[in-house]
Amino acid sequence: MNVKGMTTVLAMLFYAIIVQGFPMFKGGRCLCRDHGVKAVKVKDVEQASVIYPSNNCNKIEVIITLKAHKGKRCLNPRSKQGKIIIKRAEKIHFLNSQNV
Amino acid sequence: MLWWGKEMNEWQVLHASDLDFLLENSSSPYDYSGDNNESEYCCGTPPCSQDFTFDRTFLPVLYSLLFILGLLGNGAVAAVLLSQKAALSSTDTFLLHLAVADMLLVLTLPLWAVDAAVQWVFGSGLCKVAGALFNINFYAGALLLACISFDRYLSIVHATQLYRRRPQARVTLTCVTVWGLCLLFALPDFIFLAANHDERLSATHCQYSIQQVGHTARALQLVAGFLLPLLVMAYCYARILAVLLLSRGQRRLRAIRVVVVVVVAFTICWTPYHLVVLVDTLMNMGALARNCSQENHVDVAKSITSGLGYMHCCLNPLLYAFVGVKFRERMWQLLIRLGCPEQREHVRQLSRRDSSWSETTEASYSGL
Repeated sequence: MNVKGMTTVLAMLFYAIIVQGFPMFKGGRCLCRDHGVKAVKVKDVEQASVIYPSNNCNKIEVIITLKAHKGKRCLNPRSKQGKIIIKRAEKIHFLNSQNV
Repeated sequence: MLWWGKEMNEWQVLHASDLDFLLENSSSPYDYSGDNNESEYCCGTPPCSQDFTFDRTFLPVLYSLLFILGLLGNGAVAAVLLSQKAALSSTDTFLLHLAVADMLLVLTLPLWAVDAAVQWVFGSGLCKVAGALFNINFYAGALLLACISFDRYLSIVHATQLYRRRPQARVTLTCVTVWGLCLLFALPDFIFLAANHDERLSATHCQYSIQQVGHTARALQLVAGFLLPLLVMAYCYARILAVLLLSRGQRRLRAIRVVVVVVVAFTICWTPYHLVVLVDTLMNMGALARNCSQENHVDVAKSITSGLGYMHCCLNPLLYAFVGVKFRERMWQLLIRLGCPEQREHVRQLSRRDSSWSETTEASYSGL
């Protein structure tokens, strides 16, 4: 019997159940599958959303909605453009919270 | 990593006007030229959206069904046990508590049905209570199953040592301990569960608002509330089976059948869910290829298999109570009393000696 394999499987199950719990307490998965594009043309951008880590996704994600129904793209949050957008989002959030 | 803590909005939208300002005023050069930019659009994958159309119809139907079946089955068990005039044996006491735990668990299902169909509309308070109630009763169920297996183990494997019935006080103490432990396990739920607006799902759901802190608490919860009872059950039933296989007697085969059915039911109900969770974890770790449609398949599989797991609450009465001949007889008696007044009169004449207390007990049967 492969004890090592069994232990690995059990350990992973254990980890998975701790992290996920029952499906009723569901959280959204990460939306982006890969690192995302490095940059997009600024004039094509309709909207940029910065989504912060949550229970089920431990990374920050930047999603760009393109103009003219070109759809949405994941922007690499570590690229220069990504970093600038995240910084901007933080600033706007800070300003909003000051007003409140 | 504290900068995105609770006070930070979990989602921030920037509109084109904000960005123009930002990008024009920035001195940094960009990583792209106009030409390869177009190719970036073609190769960059669009974000996935989780598809819950299956859950929206399947889960409410399943939960409603389990709600009705669970209440009827466990209610019947509780009624039969409570209608007994003699003091309950230790196994019967555990069965009664198990029925109560299962009933409380299925009572929260309508809330989860609404959550699956629409979103969590009941607020954070009810999220904490319903989530904790669900977990308390799930773990109480697991611990009580372990108690039942241990009780059977004592009476079958160590029959000579514990021939006398154990004092009622000890059984009561065990039950109080079980419920106390489960309340303790539910503390993290009370603290960390909240109705959050999940931007990735674009809906409000009852979820844990924790990252790392709560994982330790939940690990303890899982070990003490689920893995430990599972190991106790496995050990006790293995020893019982070993004794039964060696022994001779008329009841031997029947007893073996009951043990096998109990273990097989538990395995059938919970193994598929754990396998799906395993696949999901492998995908999250990157060991298995992932794409949007595969993730949606896993979500559907998780809903179906977890439903199978919850179904175990409805099976408990069948497995533990109705398999017993005595239990079925008692059940028929109750039904006859309920159904035909003449028979009921007959039964009453047979049990003339019963005090007037039986009248009130009878009244409670009609609640079924």
